Amino acid sequence: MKPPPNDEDPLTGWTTQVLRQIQDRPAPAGFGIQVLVEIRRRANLPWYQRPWTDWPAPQKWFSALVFAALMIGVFQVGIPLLEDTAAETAYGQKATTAWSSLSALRGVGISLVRAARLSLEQVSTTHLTLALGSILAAWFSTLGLGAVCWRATAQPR
Amino acid sequence: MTEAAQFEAFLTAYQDMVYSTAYRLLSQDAEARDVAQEVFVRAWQHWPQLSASPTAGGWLKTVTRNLCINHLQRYRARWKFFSDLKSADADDDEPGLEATFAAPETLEAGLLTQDQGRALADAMQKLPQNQRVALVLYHFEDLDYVEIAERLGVSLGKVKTDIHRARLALYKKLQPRREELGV
Repeated sequence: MKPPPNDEDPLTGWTTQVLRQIQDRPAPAGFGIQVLVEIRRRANLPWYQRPWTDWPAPQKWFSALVFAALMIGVFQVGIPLLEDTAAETAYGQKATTAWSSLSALRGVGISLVRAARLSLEQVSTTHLTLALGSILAAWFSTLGLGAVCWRATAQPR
Repeated sequence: MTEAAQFEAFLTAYQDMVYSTAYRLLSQDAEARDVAQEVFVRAWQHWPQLSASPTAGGWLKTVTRNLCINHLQRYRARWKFFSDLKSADADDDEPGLEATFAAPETLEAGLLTQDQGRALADAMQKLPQNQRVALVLYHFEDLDYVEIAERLGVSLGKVKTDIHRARLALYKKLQPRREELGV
């Protein structure tokens, strides 16, 4: 919090008094028109040239669905297909190498889904709730500990 | 009055304040104009809420300040290293700056005429960027040292030093004109 003007040192007080007398710099001539033209230009842009967040709702949802479908396609169809053809063609081998990281990610995803399904089937609701609670508690404790460490060491004084 | 006409009146009422705030922080006409334009475009996007808000002026000022700081951090980061070196050199060229200022108990600032105010504004724009931005945020935008340090991502000590050096530099630059300026 800034000190009250009476508690400022002489130089700070002098600067405050002097700078307060500087008047606003007038906006350039035609600035208002320039702004209105820009607003009109942006309003007339087709939806696909605007940021995704400003797209009309149907287009936004459709594009999200297409993106999700593409991702699922890549993981569920593309990678297995490449793996199958890898042994047969040199191109397939190259492509598989290039997509190996994606393949690994797919493996991780599948394992996580299987583990979650197994947990839901075999572990009781009480235990699951306790486990989730513990994870959340550990998560927030870590965040709190991190914040305390940052305040104690790195925060500007 | 239509919505568009209301917005035009709003634009006319606040354009000097917004442009002036941007110019003080950026010190470049073209950049200040671009940022001020973006501020009003966003104001139009939020017009349904803003038109009825009694704090619309404060909203404009905050958005202008944030956009200016983002602009400085985004587009001038590559210059930071060199400008820091340059300003450090400039500071080294004035080793006796603190010594030349004999702090009296009080310093009285007289009233400035329009020309004198312009001369003072010019002197402020000639300060190194790091000093000018910190000075403007403190004296015009009413942020305290901690807020400035957080917003600029620098240490509190650096902010205090920059602002102190800016005040001294301004005082020193204006000293030859003090008689003329009446400060």
